[in-house]
Amino acid sequence: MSGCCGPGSKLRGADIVLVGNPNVGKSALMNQLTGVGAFVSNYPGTTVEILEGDAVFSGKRIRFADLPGIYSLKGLSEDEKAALGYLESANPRVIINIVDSTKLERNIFLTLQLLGLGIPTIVALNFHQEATETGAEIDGKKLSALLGIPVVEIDPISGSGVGKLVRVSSGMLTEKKKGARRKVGLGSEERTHSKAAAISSKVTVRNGRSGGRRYGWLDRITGEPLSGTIVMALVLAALFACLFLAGGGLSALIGDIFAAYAKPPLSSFISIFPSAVVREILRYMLIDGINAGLQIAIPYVFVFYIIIAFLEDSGYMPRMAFLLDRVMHRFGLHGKAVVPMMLGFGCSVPAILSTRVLPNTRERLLTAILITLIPCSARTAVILGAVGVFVGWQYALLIYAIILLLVLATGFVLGRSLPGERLGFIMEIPPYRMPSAKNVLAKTWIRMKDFVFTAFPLVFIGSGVIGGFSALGLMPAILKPAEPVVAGWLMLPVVAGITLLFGILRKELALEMLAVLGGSANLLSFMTPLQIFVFALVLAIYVPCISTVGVLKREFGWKRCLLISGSTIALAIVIGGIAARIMPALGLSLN
Amino acid sequence: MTSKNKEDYLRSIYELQTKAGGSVKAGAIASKLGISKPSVSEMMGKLKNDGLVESAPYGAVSLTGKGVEEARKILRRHRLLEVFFSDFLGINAFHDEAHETEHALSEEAERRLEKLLKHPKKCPDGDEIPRRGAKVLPLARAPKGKPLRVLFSTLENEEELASIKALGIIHGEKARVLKKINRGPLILLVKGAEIAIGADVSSNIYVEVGG
Repeated sequence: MSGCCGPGSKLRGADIVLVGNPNVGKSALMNQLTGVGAFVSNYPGTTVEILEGDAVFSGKRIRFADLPGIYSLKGLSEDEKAALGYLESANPRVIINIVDSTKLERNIFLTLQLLGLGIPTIVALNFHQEATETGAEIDGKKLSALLGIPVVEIDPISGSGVGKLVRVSSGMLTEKKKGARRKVGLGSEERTHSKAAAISSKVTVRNGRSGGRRYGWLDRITGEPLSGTIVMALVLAALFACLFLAGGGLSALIGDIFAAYAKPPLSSFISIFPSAVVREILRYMLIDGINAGLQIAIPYVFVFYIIIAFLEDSGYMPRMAFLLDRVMHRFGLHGKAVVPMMLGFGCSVPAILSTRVLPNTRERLLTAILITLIPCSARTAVILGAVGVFVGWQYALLIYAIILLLVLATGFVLGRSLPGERLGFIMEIPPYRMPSAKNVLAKTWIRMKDFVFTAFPLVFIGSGVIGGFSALGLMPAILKPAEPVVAGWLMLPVVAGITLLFGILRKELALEMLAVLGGSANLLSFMTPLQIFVFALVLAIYVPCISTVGVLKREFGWKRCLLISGSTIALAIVIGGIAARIMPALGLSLN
Repeated sequence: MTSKNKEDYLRSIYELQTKAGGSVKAGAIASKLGISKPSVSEMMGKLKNDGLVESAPYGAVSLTGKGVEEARKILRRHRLLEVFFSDFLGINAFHDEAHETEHALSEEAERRLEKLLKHPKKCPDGDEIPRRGAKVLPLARAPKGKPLRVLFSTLENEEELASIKALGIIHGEKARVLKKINRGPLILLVKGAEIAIGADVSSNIYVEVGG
C-alpha cells in the first residue's frame, strides 16, 4: 500500500491528519511518528506539499498526513485552500490538532473551526514548558473539558507524550464521523476569535513567573536594521564559505571515490558491448551522467539543504525576509522571495522548488526567472576557473557585476510588467528555537529525495542523448546552423559552440570539454582572453542546465519553461555579442 | 440634505468597515440604512466632496482620515446615549432613542453625560465606545512601543484581508509595534505572536493610539 514514494504519487486519504498553525512543531511530530519513511506529494493541481508516512501501532498500519501550516480554514492562500480541500474530500478519520501553548488563543481559533468539520479531533499541546516559563501555564484538563475533546501534552523533540497521543488518537479511529456541526464558512471570524479568547483566558493559569522569550538577545540583534544587516551579511558569508569548503571538499571526495571504485567496474561493463555507438552512449550516461549527479548535486545541494534546514528550524529565515522586504519591493517582490533567491547561489533546482513558499504564481514565476539568472555554484566554477585563472580576477568580478545588473534589470522590468496581483508581505516571526539535529536531517533527507527524482533522470537521459549525437558524428551537423552565431556574432572558436551545448547538462562540464576539444588545459593557447571572457559570460547567462529546465517545466508547465529558457538563450547571445564588441574598447585585447 | 442624514451615513460606513474590513459597497450601506441604492450613490458624491470618504474599486467607498474622526465622534455620542437610555432610564428601545437624540447633543452635554455614566467602555450591545482623545492613524505610521487598538482595514485584496483576520488583526484587538524599518515592514505583537507586515499592507490597517 505504500509501494510508490516518488513525487507526484496519487493522494490517498490518510487515517490521521496533522493540522496546526505554522511553526507549532508539526514536522517534528510527523518525524517522531513516521521517521524518514515519509514522502512528499502535491495536493492535486497545486504546488502545495503534503507529507505522508506510515507508522505501525499495535499491529495496525496507520497512515499519517502532515498538512501545510495554516491559521484558518477560511483563508484564501493556496495552502489554506488545499488544507480545507483535503479535510473535506480525503476523508481523514481523525485530526490531530497541534497547538502552540505560548499562543493558545490564536491556535484555539483554528481548533474551533476544525471542530465544525465533525471529524473526531484531538489536541496535541506543544511548547507547554515554554508557556510555563513565560508565566502562562495551560490547564490541559480544563481545556479538554471546555472543548469537549481529548487534550494531550506533547514534546515532539524528546518524544514525551507522543506515545499517549498515538494511543488516544488511534483509539478514535473507530469513532464515527459526526455530521458536520456547521459548515465552515458560517460563523464569523469575530465570533470565533472572541470564543477562542474566552476559552484561552479560562485555561491559562498565571503562575507568577516572568521569564522573557528565549533567545531575546538574539531577537534584538537580528531584528534591528543595522545590527540585523551585519548579522545577515555574516550568516550569508558563512553559508557560502560552508558551501564552497564543505561542498567542494565533499565533491572532490566523491569524485575520487567514484574514479577509484565505480569507474573501473562501469568501464569494464561498458566494454562488453560490441557497438562503439552503444559504448559511447553508455559511457556518457553511466560515467559522465552519474558522476555529474554525484559530484555536483549531492555535495552542494546536500550541504545547502542542511544549512537551510538549520536556518529554517532556528527561526532565522523570517527575520531575513523582514529585513530585506523593503529592498525586494523594488522588484515587485517581497521579503518571502529572499530565501529562494539565496538558494539560487547553490543550485537553481532546489531554489526553484523552494519558490513554493511564495503566495501566488506571479511571485513564484518572477522569483524563478531571477533564480535562473543567479550564478549557481557550477557557473561560479566556470567564471572563476576560466576567467579568473586565464584573464584576471577583475574580469571575473566584472562578469558577476554584469549578471547582477541583469538580475536587477530583469526584476525591475518584470516586477512592473508581469500580470497578476501583488500580494502584501504578511508573515509570522516565530521565536528562536534550537533546531534538533534529527529534524534537520529528516528535512534534508526528504528534500534530497525530491531533488534526486526531479534532476537525476534528466541529467542521465540528456547525457545519453548528447553521447549518442557525438558517437554518431552528428555534432558538427547540429552545430552547423549555430556557426554564424558562435563564430560570427560571438566571435568564438567553433569548438566553443559544442561545449556550450554540453553546458546544458552541467555548466562546468563545458569548461572541461573546452580543454579536451581545444587540446590543452591552457585555454590561452587556442582562445584570446576576450573569447574566454565572452564564453564564460554566455555560459553563465543562458538557460542554467537541463535539470533546471526540468524543474521549471514541473513547476510552471512547458509553455513558461520554454519561454524562460528561450529568453535566457537570447539574452546570453545578445549580451555576449555586445561584450565581444565593447570589451576591446575597455582594454581587453583580441589576441 | 440634513446633517443628521449625513451623520447616519458616516456612522454606518464606519460600523460596516470595522465589522467586515475592507471597503464598503453601496449595496451594504443601502441595506443597513434601509434606503435605495441611488440615494446612497448621491450621498456618497456629497461625502466625497466634503473629503469624508474616498472611492475604492468596484464602486465601493472607504472613509478618509477625516471621515473616520467624524464617524467616531458620532458613534461615541450614539453609544453613550445608548448606555444612558438603557442603563439609566431602563428603556428597551435604547437604540432608536439614541438615534433620535444623538444629532442634537452638544459637546458639553456629551462630556457631562459621560461623567454621569462613570465613563462607560462599552455600549449595551457590547460594542466599544470610541474613546475621546484617541488618535486614529494607519498602522504604518503608528509609534513604536505604544499600546494600540486595531480599528479596521481598507485592504482590497481578499486574500490579504483573510490572512490578517486569521491572525487576529481584527477590530478591537490590542497590539503593539515592536520593530520597524523606515518606509519598510514592521513587526506587530498581536495575540502573543509577532507578525511582520509590509508597508503596503500596514498603511491599509487603521489603529487607535492613546485616549
